[in-house]
Amino acid sequence: MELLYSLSSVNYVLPVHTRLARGKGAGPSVRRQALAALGAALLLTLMAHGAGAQDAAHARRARQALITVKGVANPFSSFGIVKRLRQVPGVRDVSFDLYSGQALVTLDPAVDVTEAQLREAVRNASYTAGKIQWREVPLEPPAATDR
Amino acid sequence: MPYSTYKQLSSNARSWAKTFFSLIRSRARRSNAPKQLLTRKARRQGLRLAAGAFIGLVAWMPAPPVQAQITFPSATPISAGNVIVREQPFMASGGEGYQTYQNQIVVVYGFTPNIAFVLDSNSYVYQTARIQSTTESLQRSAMGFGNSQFVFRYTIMQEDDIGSTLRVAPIVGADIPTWMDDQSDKYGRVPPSLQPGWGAWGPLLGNTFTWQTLDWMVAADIVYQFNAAAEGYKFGNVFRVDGGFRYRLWPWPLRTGVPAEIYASLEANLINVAQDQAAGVVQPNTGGTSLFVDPGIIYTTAQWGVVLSALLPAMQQLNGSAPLIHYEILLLFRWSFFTPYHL
Repeated sequence: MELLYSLSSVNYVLPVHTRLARGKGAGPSVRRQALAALGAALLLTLMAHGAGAQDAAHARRARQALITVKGVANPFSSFGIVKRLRQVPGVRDVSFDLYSGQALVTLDPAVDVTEAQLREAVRNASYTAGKIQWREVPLEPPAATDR
Repeated sequence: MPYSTYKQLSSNARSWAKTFFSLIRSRARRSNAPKQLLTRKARRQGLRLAAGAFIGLVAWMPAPPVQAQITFPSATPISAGNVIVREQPFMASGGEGYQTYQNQIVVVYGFTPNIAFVLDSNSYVYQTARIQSTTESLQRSAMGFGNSQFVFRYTIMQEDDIGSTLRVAPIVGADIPTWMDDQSDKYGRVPPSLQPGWGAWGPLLGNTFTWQTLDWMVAADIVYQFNAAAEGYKFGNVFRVDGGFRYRLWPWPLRTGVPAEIYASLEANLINVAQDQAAGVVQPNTGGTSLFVDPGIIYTTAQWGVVLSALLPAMQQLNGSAPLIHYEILLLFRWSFFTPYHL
């Protein structure tokens, strides 16, 4: 109810200050309008906070690259592709599926990792990069893996 | 298969020593030189030549396995900055009481996606055999640091697809002598044929081929090795052709992720060695052709693996009266790690 009241009083903020500036006395109506102004300020704060929370939620989404890697045919070879992709700045985590030949690379949202960087890493691992699919997912803490 | 040659060495060395002893004795009689002096000279020359023959056979050793194959180099991929360390102890047994226990350390380094360097070092060599002199047969033995081998590999062809790769990679390298050839036992200095090292360089060149899928792999190589002369003795050049096939036994069917895997392996090694030359004279009891068949089993994870293989002679057509090789057993461990240094 307080919130609704404050909302309805927003339009009175300016008149209150105008009256005070004119030197008129602070009667009961003025106190009421002052409370309304405080309520309006609180409402604005809450709205601003809500908008910030939405921005933070958006920021916690990370990019992922699903890379089709050609040429990996056994577990011993998969070690190289995982290590080389992890050495790319901005890569938070890498997992590789030998059966499908796909590497899932989770990227740091604060770092702009390009497709060219990922393809170069695959090439340095002595393999061939195929199609790269980009997507966004909720950000999770980086995996505790050695680099 | 390379290692089986060690066995041939010792037995061949004995027969060669006999040949040279008799040759030198006959020359001594013709020259009317003092018998004792000539006998010692003959012994030295005979042992040196026998050792040379042994060394020549050692020089048959092929380029070290680069990654996936057990007994010969392959064209399997290695990433830039990737280091693979292999430790492979093995034992061998042959005629004339020959036995050897050795440990090889192989370091493979991916310099670029296409270039790999391989250093193969015989970190421990123990050899024993009955050595026939002019008067008696003695069981002699020696141990020490053996020769090394350096190989450069360049991938010239690469056809990748999902779950498969086909590669061709020529190799160039050389045996690097360590000159550890002065070991002694209770009878004195051990004949050169049993010394762990030798003094001859052996440049080699060849080509490797690998076709690998998720279920199986086929590999082959062809290598020619030139053997340089050392102390007037030139060992026969070596020509060899190897082939191998491996098949995944477990897990079956393949599941998602990167599982550990077990493979059954079967390799074959066909080796032809030319006859040696001493001071330009062809030695009749040297050289020959051998075929080995090597069944094995491989367990591999993403970062390490272990291999057990037996090397069995299927055919041995050696010149002269060299004893046959019985068997070899090879155990192999390998680890993979990364360095930040690469191109």
